[in-house]
Amino acid sequence: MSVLRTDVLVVGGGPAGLIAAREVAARAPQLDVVLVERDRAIGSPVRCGEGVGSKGLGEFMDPTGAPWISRRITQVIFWAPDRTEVRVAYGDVGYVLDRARFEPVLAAEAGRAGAEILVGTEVTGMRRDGQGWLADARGPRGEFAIRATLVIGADGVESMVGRWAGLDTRVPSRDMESCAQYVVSGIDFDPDAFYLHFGDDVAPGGYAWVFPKGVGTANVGLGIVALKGRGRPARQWLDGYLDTYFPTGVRTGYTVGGVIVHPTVKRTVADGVILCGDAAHMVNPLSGGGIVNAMKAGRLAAEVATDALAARDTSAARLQRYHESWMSLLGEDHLRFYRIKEALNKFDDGFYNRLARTVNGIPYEKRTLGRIFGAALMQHPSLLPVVARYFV
Amino acid sequence: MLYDALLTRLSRMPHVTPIEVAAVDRQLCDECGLCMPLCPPMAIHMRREGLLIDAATCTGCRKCIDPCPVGALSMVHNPLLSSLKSSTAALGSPVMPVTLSPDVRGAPTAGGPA
Repeated sequence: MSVLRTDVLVVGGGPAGLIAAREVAARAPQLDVVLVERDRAIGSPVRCGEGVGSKGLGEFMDPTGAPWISRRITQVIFWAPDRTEVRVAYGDVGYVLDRARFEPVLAAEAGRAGAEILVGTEVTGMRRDGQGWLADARGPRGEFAIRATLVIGADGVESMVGRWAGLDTRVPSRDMESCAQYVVSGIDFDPDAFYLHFGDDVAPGGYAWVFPKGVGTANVGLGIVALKGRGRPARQWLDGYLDTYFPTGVRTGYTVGGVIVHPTVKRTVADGVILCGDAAHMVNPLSGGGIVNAMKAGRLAAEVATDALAARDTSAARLQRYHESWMSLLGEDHLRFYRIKEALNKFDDGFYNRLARTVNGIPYEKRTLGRIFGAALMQHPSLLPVVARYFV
Repeated sequence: MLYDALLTRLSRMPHVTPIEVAAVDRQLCDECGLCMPLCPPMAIHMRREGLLIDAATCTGCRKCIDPCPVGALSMVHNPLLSSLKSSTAALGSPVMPVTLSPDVRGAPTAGGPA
C-alpha cells in the first residue's frame, strides 16, 4: 500500500480545516500540508443556515462584492411565540453565505498557498506512529496510508479524529440541536433581515430561522432539542412550521444536521493532534453559529502547529497553548453563553410574549442593547438571575 | 454520566446483552452524523456506504433515537441474541439479556431471555 508523507494532515474540508490548511501553508511554505474531504465536492452538500456576523468574516475573506455572498443583512427581527415582531440591530449585521461557492474559494486559496486538497477521500482510522500518526485513507483510487507528524481534526460534529486520539467529544442529548432546513422560494419577508422565531410550539429548545438568500427566497429552518420535541423529529416540526407560516412557499432544497450547543470540549489537543470547529464543540451555544468560530480556531491551530513543528515538539503539552488561546479568545465567552442559554430555557412562551411587548415600547431608533437590557430588567425582574449568570 | 458509564460497563459484561439495539434505515438516513457524538459507547460509525451501528457495542440506551432529524433510527431486536444464546450455551454460562431504558433512572431491569 502506498504511503503519503506529510507534515500536517487536515481531516475535513469545512471552514475550520480550509483556514487551517491555508494558514499553515502560507506561514510555513516549507511544510507539506494535505487536506482530505470525504465528500466529492468541497462546500457541498450544504448542511447549514449560512448566516454569519459581519465582524469576524472580514478577518479571513473580503466580502465586498464577493460571489459567495448571497445577501447582506442589516437587521435582526425576533418573533415572539405569538409572532409579535421585534426589530433590533440595524446597520452592519452580517451576511448569508453561499457556502457551495464560499468553501471552494477558500480551498483554492489553500491550494495556491501550497496545500494539497484531496476530495472524495476519507480517513477510516489512525494510530500513533513514533512521533506522528499513521492514518488509513480511502480515495477515488483506492486505499492508501498517510504518515503525518501532526493531524488537525476539523471533521465536524462526528469528530472521529478526536475519538482516535482519545479525546472525549461526546455530547449530552440536551446540548444537541436537531435541525432541518428547506430552501424556500416565493415567500414574503424582509430580505435584509435575519429572522429568529422562538416558542415551545415553534421549535422547543431552539428556534426557527429565516435567512434570506435573495428577495423571496430564504433558508427556512429550525433546531429543536429532542428531549423537548414530543417524539416528533425535526423534519416534522419544520413541515408543520412551513404549513403554518409560509404555506405558499416552494421548497427547492432540503438539509438536516446537528448543531452542538455545548461548551468547548475539555481537551482540544492530544499528542500530535489539534481539534477545530464543530469537532471541538466551538459553536456559540446561544446562537448556534459556528462558521467564523471555526475559522478562528483554524487560524489558531495553524499558528500553534507551525510553531510546534518548527520546534520539533508536537506533544500535547506543547500544543496546549492552542487550547488556552482558544479559551481566552472565545471559549470562556461560550461558557457564559451556555449558562445564559440554560437560564433562558426556564422561561415559558408567555414570558417571551410579554418581553417582546416591553422591547417594542422602546422607540426603534433608541433600541440599543443597553436600553433593551435596562427596560427588560425593570419590567421583568425574573431576568435578574439570567443576567447574573453572565458574570458568575 | 454515571448512568452512561454503568450502561456501557454492563453491556460489556459477556453475559449481558441488550434485547433491543439501535438500527438505521439507510433509505431515510441523510448521513449528517448527528447521532455519532450522542452515542455513549461510540457504537455508530460513518462509512462511505452509509451509517453503521455496531450491535455488539450498542447498549440499547436509545439516546440516538429521538434526536435523528429524519427519524431514521429505531430500536430492533438485537440480532446478536440468537447467535449469542447458542454460543454461550455451549460455554455453559447463562445468557441474561437486559432491557435498558433511559427513562428508568434506577437500576436497569433485567429480563429473561427474549
